[in-house]
Amino acid sequence: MMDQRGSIVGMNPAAERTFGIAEADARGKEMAEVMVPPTLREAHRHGLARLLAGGEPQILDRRVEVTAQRADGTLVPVELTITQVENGGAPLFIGYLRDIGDRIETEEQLRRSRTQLLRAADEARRRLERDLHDGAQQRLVGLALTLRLARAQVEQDPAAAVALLDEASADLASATEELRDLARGLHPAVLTDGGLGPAVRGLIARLPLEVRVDGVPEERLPIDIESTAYYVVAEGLTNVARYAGTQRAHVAFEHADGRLTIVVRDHGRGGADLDGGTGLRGLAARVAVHDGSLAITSPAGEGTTVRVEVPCAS
Amino acid sequence: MRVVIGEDSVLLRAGVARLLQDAGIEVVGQAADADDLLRKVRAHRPDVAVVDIRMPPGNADDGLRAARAMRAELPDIGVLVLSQYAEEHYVTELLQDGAEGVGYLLKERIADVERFVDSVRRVAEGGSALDPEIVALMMGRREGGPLASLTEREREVLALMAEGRTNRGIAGELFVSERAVERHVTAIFGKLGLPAGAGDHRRVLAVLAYLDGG
Repeated sequence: MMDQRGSIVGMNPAAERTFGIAEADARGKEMAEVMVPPTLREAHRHGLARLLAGGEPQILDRRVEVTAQRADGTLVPVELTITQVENGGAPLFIGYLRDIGDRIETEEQLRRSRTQLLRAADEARRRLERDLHDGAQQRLVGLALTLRLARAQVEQDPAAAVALLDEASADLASATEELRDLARGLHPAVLTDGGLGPAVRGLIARLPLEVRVDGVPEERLPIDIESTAYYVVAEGLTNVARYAGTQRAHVAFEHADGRLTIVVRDHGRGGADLDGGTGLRGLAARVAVHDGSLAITSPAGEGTTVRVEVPCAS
Repeated sequence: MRVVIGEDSVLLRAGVARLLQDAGIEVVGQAADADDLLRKVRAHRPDVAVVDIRMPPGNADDGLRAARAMRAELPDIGVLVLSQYAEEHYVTELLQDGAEGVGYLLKERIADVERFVDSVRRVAEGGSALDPEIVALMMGRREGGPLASLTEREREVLALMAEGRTNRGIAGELFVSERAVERHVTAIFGKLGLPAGAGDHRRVLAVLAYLDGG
């Protein structure tokens, strides 16, 4: 509560907590000095003077978000509504405020994880474009050339034409294989048709790793959870194959009490972190969408453990 | 020999039909979705159905499910599934009720016409035809066990057995005599501890069960 001179005339216990100051200490002091950050003080004083001089009220009876200052000088974002009451002819201003620091932090996290999801999706597109361009597309261009050459040879040198056609067939087979691998990497059809177990086993059969798998859910789970779990395993194991310097890994699932836990572990060289690659960060954002958690433990020389937990109704 | 084809891509359907007809095989029915396929198979009773795994109406593994329904209902009709997926899962599903008269090949194998036609004939006659890439995946997964005790040549023979080839087929592929293949087969079964003396059709199942980790 503030009077027309701008002095504090009272505050409730909640406000005492928010500002870290006792009512007894605050009373009589200029509100601007105690609760408004220095950079905003002049504007506050100016606004009050303008209002008292008969100016049109600008923030009265509206909910606004402003930055306030605590007694220790730290800033706190608050949601503020000011109403004006008459008190024996003199105006009195009552500010109702709510500390929205938590909400703002949550919003900030949400924004960050959205951005990460976007970046991960963009990065995946770029990778796909590169793979298509360097792989199948090159091969098809080469194939077109080989076919042209074969065409030119058909009459003069049929034997050479046959050799070229064989070459074209081989190129075509390679392109088909690359496209098949690429499609599987994007989203294995067997995940949709058969679920997590078959998809994970199919993945492992393709990796140059010896992987032990425990507790893979054979029952079907919500499709988005299955996808996330699959990508966690795929990314985790790909990282083992690429960076861990070991050929062994362990994947463990646990589905209990409404949570699905996925652990991918190796005893390789360790030293991995979330900033190491876009893959893991994209995964962290994906896991966050499910209100889940992703943790990496990777002390140098002691291997890496990626642990993901997501809520998943049993 | 009479065939029904189930394939939703017009181009591929026409292509497969032509390949088979050129090889002297009669194409008695063509279907563009799983329901129509089942209808035509019931009506024509072909020797073998060549089935695309991904088909309408569901555009999921409808073809595979139609294939399994056929096997249950009309076990004398061979089923050769064409797929773009090198995944053991589908093969395991398909082989649940035995390997006789069953095949699973990657689609691109139709480009090797002679082999493709040979696979269709084998399946029609109650044999099997499993894609080499699937066999390689299965063998890769069983690395380290008794497979390690096989010689390079024995591994080749094992892979070809798993594909469903006959001794004669294997002999032709490896440029050796049928006698030599028989000796390799005996050696392989001994090393892996599998019951010897099974005919061509039955031994596929024994080999696959072994590779599947059974």
